Amino acid sequence: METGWQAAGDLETTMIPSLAEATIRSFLDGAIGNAGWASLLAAVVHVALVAGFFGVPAGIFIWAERKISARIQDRLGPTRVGGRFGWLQAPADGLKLLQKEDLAPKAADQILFPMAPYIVVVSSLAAFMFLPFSDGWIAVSLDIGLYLMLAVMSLEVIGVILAGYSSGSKWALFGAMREAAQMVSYEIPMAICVVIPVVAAGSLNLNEIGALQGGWLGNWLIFHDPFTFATFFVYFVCATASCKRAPFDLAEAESELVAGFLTEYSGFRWSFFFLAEYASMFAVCGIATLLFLGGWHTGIPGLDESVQGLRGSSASWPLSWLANVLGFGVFFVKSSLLVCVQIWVRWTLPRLRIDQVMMTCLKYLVPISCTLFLGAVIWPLVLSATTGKTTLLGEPLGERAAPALEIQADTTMTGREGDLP
Amino acid sequence: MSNQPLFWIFALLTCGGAVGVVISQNIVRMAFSLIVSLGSTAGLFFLLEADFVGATQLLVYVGGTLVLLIFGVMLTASGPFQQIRVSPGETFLGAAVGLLLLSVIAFTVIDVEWDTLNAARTEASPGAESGNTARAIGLRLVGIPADHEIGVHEGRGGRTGYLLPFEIVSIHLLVVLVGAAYLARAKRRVADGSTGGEN
Amino acid sequence: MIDFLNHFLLFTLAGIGMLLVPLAIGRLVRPRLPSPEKDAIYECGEPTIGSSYVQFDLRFYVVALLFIIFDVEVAFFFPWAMVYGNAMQLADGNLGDEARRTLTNRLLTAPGEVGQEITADAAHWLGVTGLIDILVFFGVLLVGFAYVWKRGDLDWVRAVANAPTSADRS
Repeated sequence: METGWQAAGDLETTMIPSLAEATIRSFLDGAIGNAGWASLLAAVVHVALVAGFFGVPAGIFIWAERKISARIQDRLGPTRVGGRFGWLQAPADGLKLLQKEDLAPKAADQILFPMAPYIVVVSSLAAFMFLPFSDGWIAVSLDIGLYLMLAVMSLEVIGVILAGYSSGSKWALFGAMREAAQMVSYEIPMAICVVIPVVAAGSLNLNEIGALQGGWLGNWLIFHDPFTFATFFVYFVCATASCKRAPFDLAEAESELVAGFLTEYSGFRWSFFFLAEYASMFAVCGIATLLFLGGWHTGIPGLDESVQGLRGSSASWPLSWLANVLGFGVFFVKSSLLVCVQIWVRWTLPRLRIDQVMMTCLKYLVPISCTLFLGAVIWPLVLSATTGKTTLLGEPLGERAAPALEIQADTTMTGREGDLP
Repeated sequence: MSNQPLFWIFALLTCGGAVGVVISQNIVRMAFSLIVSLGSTAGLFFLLEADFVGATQLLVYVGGTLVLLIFGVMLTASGPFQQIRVSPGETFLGAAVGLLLLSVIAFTVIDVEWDTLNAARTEASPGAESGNTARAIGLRLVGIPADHEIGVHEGRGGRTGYLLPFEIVSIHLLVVLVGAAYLARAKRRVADGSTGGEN
Repeated sequence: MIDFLNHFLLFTLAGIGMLLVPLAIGRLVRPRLPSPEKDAIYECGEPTIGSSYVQFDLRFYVVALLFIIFDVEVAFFFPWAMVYGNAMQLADGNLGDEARRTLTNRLLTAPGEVGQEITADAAHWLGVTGLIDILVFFGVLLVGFAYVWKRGDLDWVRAVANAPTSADRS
């Protein structure tokens, strides 16, 4: 592939450079002829930003989990570290774990045992690469971003299996095998659930899917048809299970498996399994937000259009930047609320047994998601046969989908802050 | 060509992983080497602008088949099965077959005129260079051939894209599913009572 | 794609660094006092009996097999869903001309070469084709799923009906 910027710009559907890349490109234009370096530099910036978005929410959610669980159990939770609400608890824990001995049992595989947490962290961090935090605030905006994100997230199970297997402990092995069986099983209904909003949106690019849900609340894909509405809840159950969260946390079923695949891990390596878990929670909730809950759009009629107008061509950069900061805030709040629901569920429901977990998936969630899929596929054709439209509410979906694409195409040509017509 | 370094990184990782599978004596380390090898192959697919194939490689092979492989290892082996011993004869035979295959592939690669092929490819499908293949694949799956205009019914001449292969794939998957379930049941009857532990 | 691969490599490096750097720093501050008890595998304070690499039950294998087959199937859903979604958007008769043009260019691989937009009727026809297409594809798979279900391969606890074996009790 020719990588000169001009050549890349000519192809409408080539890589869509995102915010940082467009900025860097404008800096480097002429200074460095080789576009590969600009791309690499942009990637470095993206990594730095996304790694922040990876670590900070995870820290926040670890703290939130302790606070919420404490409140649910009529306790106070952390109160001292870092002032009133114990908000420094997570970094303090990290600091403590840093000083703990890095143990590996003698029976463990000395190569794979230390390596397993790396696989988990890398797959969970790389998934964030495809997550748009606001319109255009995405590290890599690919045409098949959603699909690739699911693929990368599915690699986490390898880390879990290796962790359990290399530990040389029966608890770890049992936990890992259960966990792996559960994670791969729940991936089936989860993937089918993810396809359902894609059938409505006609795109796998998460940025486009987010962008076409602007306007008002009714434009969110969850309200697109009754099937997407039901799908959201099925997806959420599958997502909770695929993050190995309670009530599906069999791998760490303390009462039967000590700590599952984490039994032999200690100190910092152990903590990174948890960091990755909380980051994955945010990632699956981010997908839910983008696919069903309007992404970075507020859902308030009027407000979304004006914010979108700020992002548009005429605005100077601080305004469009501020609009994106607002979008980021909205996205973050929505995803965080979903994470809080996951935390709430964890401290409310009892744990399922392994056979119940597998039965829930294979005998309930898979058939339900298949039915929803067929329903969502037939729905627009039935609608067009009866009413002549393919969407129930408001204007045709294509009217919103097309501008979402156009923004993308313009970015390809000129960059976000470029001289748009 | 700024993709040369990337190609070398992924090519070396692929080959290194493959060599690791052969050299390693430990079955799970082999599986890990296979992950590296298959994952890097996905990278090579991406370099070839085949984004959908690359992603599928990651999803199906790295995330799926390897899990099956490891489960299979757990299933078949009993006792101290961590190590695999090979006799010198097996090593020799394996090396001979491997070298033969390598020479076939090497001769093929040398024989192909890549420049003409590249030109032909660019001519045949001008959009293929962009690396967004998923939509095109989807169009073929619903029976629209590459140069066919939607809405023009006449003159299709029986060309239906990948519609038929798509349906055949489903039959194929059905056969695999039924066959695997049948085999698993047969094995269970044999192994009944000898399975260890509540897992 | 090159941009994506650059990102992917860098994200991998960053993920490794996120763990490696603190561990390297931790090396300076953390103790290292191995003892036979610490190096032993944790088994609730009991000495371990036998190797931990026990043989596993077949049902894990069946689950993984089911997963792979459905995984391949769902992999085909994704490109199909993109096209079907686009076709359904285009099938709406009320769609404006400009949006129709944009979506047409999006749907067809070589934008600009096709002179006219896809009409609502053509898109509707495409949608019906796609629907039949996926109904056959999905239907065949569901037959397999029903077969596996009927034969009891989806049951996690299988031996309840039979006499309980050691595998089910422990």
